[in-house]
Amino acid sequence: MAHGYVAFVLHAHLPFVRHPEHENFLEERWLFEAISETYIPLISSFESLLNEHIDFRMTMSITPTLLTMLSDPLLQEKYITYLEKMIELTEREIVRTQNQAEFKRLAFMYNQKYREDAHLFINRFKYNIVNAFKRLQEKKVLEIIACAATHGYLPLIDVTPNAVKAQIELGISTYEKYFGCKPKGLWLPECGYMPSVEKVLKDYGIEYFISEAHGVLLANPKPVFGTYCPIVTPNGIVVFSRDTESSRQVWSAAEGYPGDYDYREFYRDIGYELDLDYLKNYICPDGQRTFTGIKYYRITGKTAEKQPYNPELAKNKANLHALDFIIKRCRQIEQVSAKIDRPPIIVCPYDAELFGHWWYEGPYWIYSLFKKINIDQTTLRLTTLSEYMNDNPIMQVASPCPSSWGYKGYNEMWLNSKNDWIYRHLHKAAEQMVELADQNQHAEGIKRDALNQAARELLLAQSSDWAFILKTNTAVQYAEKRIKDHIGRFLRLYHDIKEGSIDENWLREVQNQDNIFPELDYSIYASKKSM
Amino acid sequence: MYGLPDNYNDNLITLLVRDPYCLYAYWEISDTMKASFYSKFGQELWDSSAAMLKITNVTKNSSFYIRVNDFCSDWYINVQDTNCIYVAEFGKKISDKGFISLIKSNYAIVQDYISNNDLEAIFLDYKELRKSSECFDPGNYIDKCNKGIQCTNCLYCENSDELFALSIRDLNPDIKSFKSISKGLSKYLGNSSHDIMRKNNR
Repeated sequence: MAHGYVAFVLHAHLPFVRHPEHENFLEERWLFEAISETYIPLISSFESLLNEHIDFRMTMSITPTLLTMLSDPLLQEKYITYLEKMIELTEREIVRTQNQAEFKRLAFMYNQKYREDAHLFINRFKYNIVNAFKRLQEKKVLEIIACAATHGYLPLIDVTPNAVKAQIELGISTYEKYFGCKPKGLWLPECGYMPSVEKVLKDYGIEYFISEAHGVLLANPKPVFGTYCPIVTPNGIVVFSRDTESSRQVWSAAEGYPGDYDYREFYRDIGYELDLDYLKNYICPDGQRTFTGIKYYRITGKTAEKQPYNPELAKNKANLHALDFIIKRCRQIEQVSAKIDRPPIIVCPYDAELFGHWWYEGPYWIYSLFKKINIDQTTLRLTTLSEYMNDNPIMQVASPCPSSWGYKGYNEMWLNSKNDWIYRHLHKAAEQMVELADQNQHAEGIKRDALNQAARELLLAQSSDWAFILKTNTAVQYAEKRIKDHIGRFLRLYHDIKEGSIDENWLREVQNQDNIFPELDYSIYASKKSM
Repeated sequence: MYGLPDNYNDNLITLLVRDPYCLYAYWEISDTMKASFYSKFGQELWDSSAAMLKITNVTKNSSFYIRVNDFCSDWYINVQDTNCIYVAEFGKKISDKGFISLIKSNYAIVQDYISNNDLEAIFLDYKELRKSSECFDPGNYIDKCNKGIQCTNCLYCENSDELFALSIRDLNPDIKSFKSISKGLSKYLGNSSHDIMRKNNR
């Protein structure tokens, strides 16, 4: 019998990026890379485990924006085009590296990988990998939980409570649409918790969420079991705490597994190293360099002189790291279970995109880890969060502390000198959306369409990704443009609705551009709407 | 690309929490409000008086001022005390003791560790707790602080333990039995909040 449990939680999220007005759009590659580098490899790892009759459990959140993009026919077509180009590029790479055996075999490896992706995507998943995740949930090895509609950072949009309610209500209804059942858990974006969210979660039937460690450790009263058992709030919402030690082993740039010298070096990508004329048809025709995903070097060490990547070495290292992870978790569990009267749980949440995209060997490491957990030991077992709750329903009652898993543990990542300017606009738009919803109950025809589109624009502006990007200084121009476009469209819609002067041609253009949540009903913002 | 307005010609100040020791405020004063000020007090007073933020710690009934200026519209505010409710006002300081408040913000709760951990751990079956149709909403208790008095049943006041104990009983008056391994829990059943407080040596 296991002495304790490990709950792996993967949070899969991308902001809604869809540009029908452009044949090629750089930021759409975020989705295509994630499909090829993270989602397909993860599904393949899970399916391999099932084929080998290895029992495992995992909890996963797939955000509504990601669900929508994965199911969008235009983006599915563009992904196929992306694969065709990557197959062609890797074939040219095989020729280019024909006299460099170490690189040629890697070019061949990538070529095979993209061909396999195309086969799986078209023939096995029938263009929609959401169904692959759904099947894993139906097999009860995966528990999928909900998330807020556009991953809005709830503590900073709570100025208008209806805005928080709308994010959660729509997030849950989108989940129900794709998975045909109600979610038990909800991933708070960025683990951003504030006390007022509990009422909303309870109203919509959510049973649990995950908090950053200090959100539970600083709870009132102090949790006697620390992060090793969930607490339940006075409102009856169960709160699981992220485990700091296992997080550090994977996330830490200094001491985490992904920094191992045998793993693939992310930043040595042919997109920044080969001639632009050679590359431009495969990345962006406007000549902007970007990562291709084709990388030939391993981290090697703290040196600019990188050695060629060796997949066998990397795989062996991933096996060792899987074993190391298990040993450390077993040690944690043995130490803790000796002192408490119930089985401890170690909750390990990570961004899904860490595995495969940032840490190339990540999906294989998960496969190796889950296999070893099943075969090589008996101290710990994998569990989903719901399973643990059902088996261990007695919990300490405590109120968590407001917190997030972002930089410095609170709201600073999304509220600082780089991005604070957005909030007066987000808050004003939310206030106006509530006003529109209250003043236009039971609207029909073009007015209804305009109201729904106004809601869409507000939701898209609220994505926490834009504030995050502004702070990290990555795709700043794009993030800034997205906020201004969505707020700008919202303000025009607000004005047109109030004035009774809706421009139908412009409205249809905007609807086609920002077409997320086709069933969205603007009345989710109404303050008089009954539960 | 769409342009965003510089302001919305509103009268408002919004207070956000950045972390347990730092708040952020943004504000706007409409042309109408300025005109009203000019009409009441004269434009000269507007021009000569200092634009100030008044930050009030509602929980501890204390306040401090930050001098800003008429051209800025946001500010980061360091605070010393956590586990408190704050409110901000923007106005004009006309003398050492004279502050004309123009706009008042929402309440912002700053929370960090709870200093008093003497309260005994209570364990319940989460499914029983969920059955309650009531919901403990911290927002309700903040409204009570709006009266500006030291209240005794606010989670964020020094007497927070009382509220915590109250919330459990108030939410679940019909729960007859608790499955728990916490020592001495049964003594809490059916007791008043005052009894609970006494048992915790408050």
